[in-house]
Order: sequence, then C-alpha cells, then structure tokens
Amino acid sequence: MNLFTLVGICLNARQTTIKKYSPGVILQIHTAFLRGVGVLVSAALLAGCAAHQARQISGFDEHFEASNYVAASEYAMDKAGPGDKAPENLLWTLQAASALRGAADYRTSNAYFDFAEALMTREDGESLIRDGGENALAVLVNDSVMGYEPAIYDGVMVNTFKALNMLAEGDLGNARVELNRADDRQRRAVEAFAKEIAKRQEELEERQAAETAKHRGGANRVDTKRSLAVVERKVLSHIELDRWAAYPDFVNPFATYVNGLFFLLAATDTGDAGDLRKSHDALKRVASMVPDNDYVQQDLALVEGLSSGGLEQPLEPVVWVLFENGLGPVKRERRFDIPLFLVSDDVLYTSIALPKLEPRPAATKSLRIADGNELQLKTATVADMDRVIGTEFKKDYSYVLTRAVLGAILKTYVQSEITRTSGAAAGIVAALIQRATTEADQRMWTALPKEFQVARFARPATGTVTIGSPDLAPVEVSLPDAPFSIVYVKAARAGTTPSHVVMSFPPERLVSQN
Amino acid sequence: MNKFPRFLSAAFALALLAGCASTVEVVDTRADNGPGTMGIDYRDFDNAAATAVQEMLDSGAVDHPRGGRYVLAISRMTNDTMQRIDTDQLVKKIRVALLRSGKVVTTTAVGLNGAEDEMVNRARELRQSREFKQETVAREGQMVAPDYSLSGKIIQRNHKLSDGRQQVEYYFQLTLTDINSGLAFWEGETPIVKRGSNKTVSW
Repeated sequence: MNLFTLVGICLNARQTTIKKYSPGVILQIHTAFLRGVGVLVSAALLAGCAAHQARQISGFDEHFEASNYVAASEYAMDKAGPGDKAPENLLWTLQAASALRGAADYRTSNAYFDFAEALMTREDGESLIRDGGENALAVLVNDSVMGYEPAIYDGVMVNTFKALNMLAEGDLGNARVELNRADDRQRRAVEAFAKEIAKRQEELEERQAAETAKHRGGANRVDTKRSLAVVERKVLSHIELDRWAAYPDFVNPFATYVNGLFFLLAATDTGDAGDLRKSHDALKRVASMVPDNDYVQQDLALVEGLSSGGLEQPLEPVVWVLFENGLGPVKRERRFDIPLFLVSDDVLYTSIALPKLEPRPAATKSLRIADGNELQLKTATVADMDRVIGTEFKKDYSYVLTRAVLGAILKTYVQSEITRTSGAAAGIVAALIQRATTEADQRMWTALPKEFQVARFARPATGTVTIGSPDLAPVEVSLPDAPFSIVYVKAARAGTTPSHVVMSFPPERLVSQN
Repeated sequence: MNKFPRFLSAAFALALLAGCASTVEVVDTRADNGPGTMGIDYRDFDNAAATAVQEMLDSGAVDHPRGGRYVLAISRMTNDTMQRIDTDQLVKKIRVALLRSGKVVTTTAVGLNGAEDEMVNRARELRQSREFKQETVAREGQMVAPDYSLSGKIIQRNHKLSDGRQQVEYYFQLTLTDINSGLAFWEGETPIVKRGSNKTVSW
C-alpha cells in the first residue's frame, strides 16, 4: 500500500465517522490520542529494526554461502557481543558457533554453543511480566523488537552440533551428555508445543478482548473477530504453509540418527546393554521416518543383530559419511492489504507484514562415493531441515498472524482517530509511522543446512575414497585404520569444494580436515 | 573551615563502597540447606557416595576373611546424564570412604587409560640411572594386582508431572567385580530424585 492510499483511507475514515461529542469526551479522546501519538513516535524510533536485522543476516549469509567460514565467524562474533564479555545476542551467538564449526575451530565453536545454550535457558526462565511486556511492544511495533525467541529445533541442533564438535575432538564422554540433552529437548518439544499454543491462544484472546473494550468508546469500533477471520483466509491461501510437510511429533531425524549412531559405537566399545537399547530405539524411530533410506535400515539391522547375538562377535570396519547439504530456508517479508471491519458497516483498509519461509537450493543432489574399484554409492537423505523448520514455522504461524493483525488494528484505529480529530496532516504522520513499523520479523538461524544425508559402507582395503558430485569439486579422503570411522562433509552451495573431517572410533586423533 | 561537606562526602563514599562490596558466605557443607538445583551438586555426590559405601560395607563383600585389605582398581565410570559432571569427583569420595573403612586400598597403578599415577611407572625408569641409589629404586615384582574392580554409571531420567513440574531422577549405579572370577560381588543403585519447574531444561 502506498502513502497516497493510506492518506485517502485516513480522510475517508474521517468523513464517515464524524459524530458529535460533548466537550468532556472530546478532551478525553484528545488525551488518549496524544498518548497514542507518543506511543507511535516511540515506535517509530524502533522502526527499521526488522529491515536492519534482515540486512545484517544477508551480510552473514553471503560469507557463509561462499564457504568463507572464517569471515562469517568474525562477522557473527562481532554482532554476538563485545569480545571481552559473554555474548548477549542469541541469534548471532548461534550464527557464530556454526561458522566456527565450519572453520573447524571446534573448541571456540562449542564455547559459543555453550553461551547460546545459557542464553536459551535465560530466555526460557524470563518472567511472565517481561514476556507480556515484549508481546505488548511487539503488537505496537512489530515482532523484531522482541528478543530472539529460539525455535525448539534451534535447541536440538545446538546440542547435536556440540556433540559432533566433541566427537571431532575425540571427547566421547561429553558428546554423550550433549546427545542426551538433544534427546531430552525432543521429548520436551511435543509437550511444549501443545502447551504453548494453548497458552498463546489464551493470551491473545485476552488481549483481543481488552482491545475491543478499549475501542468501544471511540468512533471507529473494529470488529476484531470478523477482521481476523478474513485475514486468515486471505493470508493462508498465499503463504504456502502446506508446502512444508510436517515431521511427526516435531522429531528432527538427524539429531535422532546421530544419537542412534553414537550409542551404537559406544555399545561396541563399552558392551553396555543400555547403550545398545538407546541406539536401537533411536534408529528404529529414524528408520520409520525415512523408510526408503537403505543405510539407516542397515544400521538398524546391525543393532538388532548385536542385541540378539551380543557384542562379542567381531564387526567388520564400517565407514559412515554424514553430509550437510546446502542451506536451510530464510524468512522473507510478505505484505498483505487487509480489511478491518468496523462496527459501523464501514471497512478500513490497512496492511500487515508477515514472514514467509523461502527455501534455498541444495549444494548438490547427493554425494557419490567411490574407491576406484567396486565401491560406488550415493548418499541418501536422512533429515530434511526445510521440513523440520517448516513444521515449527507452521505451528507458530497463527500466533504471528494474530499478533500482526492486532497490531494493525491498533495502529489503524489510532491513525484514523488522529486524522478525525487532529486533521489530515497529523493523520499523514501517523500513517507514515504505521507504514514504517509494519515489518515482518525475519530473524532465524540461517547457518543450518537444507538437509542431512548419510551413507555407510565397509572400509575399502585401499583405505581411501573419493567423494564428489557433478556440482562439487571432488575430495580425496584417507580413512583411518580404525574399527569405525565417520567422514563428515559439508557443502553450502554448488560450485564449492566441500569441507570434511574424519573421526575414528575408538577416538585417537583428528585424522584430517580441510 | 566547614568540615560538614567533607564529612558528607566521606560518608557518601563509604556508603557507595558499602553498596559495592559483595558478601561472601562460607557454607557449612554438613548442614547446608541452601536452594538445590535440578542438576547434580556436591550434596548429591556426598549422599550417593555415603549410601553406596555403607551398602557395600554392610553387604560384607569387602570383608577380608584373614582380616587384610582388598585391592581395588577403578574401572569405567560412565556419565550418562545431561549434566557435565566430573565422575572422578564421585569416585574420589567413594575411595576416601572405603579407605577410611580400613577394608580396601585403591591401586593407582592400573587404570583403563593407563596408570592413574604415572609416577609409579616413571620411578621404575630410574633403574637404568647411575644418578640414583639403586637400593632406593622400586624393585621388580613389588606392585600388587587388584582383587576388585569398581565400575559404574550415572543415568538420568526426566518426566513431566501432572502438576506441570518436572521430575528429574538420577541413578548412581555401582558394580564391584571380583577380577579373579569375573563375578559381581556387590551392586548398588542410589537414586536421587528432584522435582522443580518445567520452564526450562534440567541442566
């Protein structure tokens, strides 16, 4: 919606809603509007937040997509917080930790992941008063003024990446702790979603009732319920929520797969039946989620064999390839013109801005692994992060939408009343402020991959394999002479050379990386 | 000269200093009723170690028939919780308590990842050195092999309660294995259960 349309709406609203008031009522309305103008002016100061944040994220993404992880980590660390203090900005702490992991600086990466986890715990423990205050401010301005609320998948991935960093450093004991944490976060996810949605709906209904009551005395009474119903229909048909097919129970199959793989390897070392049981439960769950992935089925068959036959039989050396492919979706802003139904049969048009998930391309379809002899296979998807992220995005959407509509109702109401009582010029200022504050929150952890793929094979006698694809430069990998090894490969986009690290089990040393 | 402003500034400065000073409280660890955490703290270690050792002693598994002491080697202690804890801390408490019982001594010369005290082996390297009086160097065949091995695992289970809180259960599991026969002579499990807010994770 352009400025002229807005001005037209304001003027139109003024003409259609003039009524006669007593001097006392006029004074009250003026005071209320002055307060409203004050709020909007303050809001204007905060405006531009969302656009600025989106620009910062794009700056980081440019480095990260080009696999320039050192530059990406410096960029993110600078924004996460001052160097001599603990980072305070959760989103940038997450981005920094990912970039440091990409740069193979596992120790610093984990220090940042630890900070991120502490910030998440602090966010969880925030008081209801602060949460309520943030929500109220978000309705007045937009969601970007709230602290970054971590998604549940953020937490699960923090612990999974921490475990992988520890495995690369040969620290099995702490990797186990992190994988237990990731598993517990997944358990909490199902409960949290059900509870959170009910709580949020309740909060919004209360706020909606309060807004309706507040507007009852004014000239432009907004029928919030009717407006919301129309908006929901209009927005949902355009936002393509259905393309993000949800995973059941909010389980991230990659986190569960790494859990299953770790406890399988741990069980072969410790002989612990408890570890074997954990591995079995995790792999069974993943196998049911990705039934077409033969490698996961082979893992499950191995763990089932071990469960029934004990751990005494010697196992042939196995190599797993874990592949981080491409980059996950980003949030982009989409604006909608929406009607606000007034009780007086008039309709006032305004706009809302909503985030939309936009997928980014994979680096390649799959990796090809060959040893120059008989071995020739391709990696297969174990977890589609677009789906993991989309599942949660979808669940949260009605809340984001309702908050945006409530904000639009409030701002439009104040704007139209300012126009009516203080003239068109004041109305134009209010309209400009409303336009500036109508922005979608586009923050998200953009360093996550598009998908995770896996492959497994018996260690070839040659001890080396070539990993490549038509879209990526080939990588020669020397495999350690160990019972088990994991080759972790990462490619952010096509046309780059994938980075890789080789981990051996039992861990001895970091074998190679580039 | 009016001394009042100077007095006032001094008082103000003192008040500021007093405001800045942080108070340090020394905790009586034998009677600490301070707020607990959902994680594992030193009180949990104390409780688990004391209970485990008492059970082990009561079982008679470490009563030497000829009144001597058994030699104990410390095996794998797995931390299967969501807390980054130092299992050595728990093991140390158990070792101290067992040593005090007069029934067990612990070897530091044998461990899963090599000797706990490397000096035992390093000191033997002096056998080749002309700088040391050879009669003071440890002789061959003097080290004592362990009779028992102590292994264990700490596991954690979290549940959501119907009142919206969470219950965090820790199980300290210990096994005393007779190295000669491979049989577990004693096994113990000490649960530590905590209930608290479910607002955030338990670590």
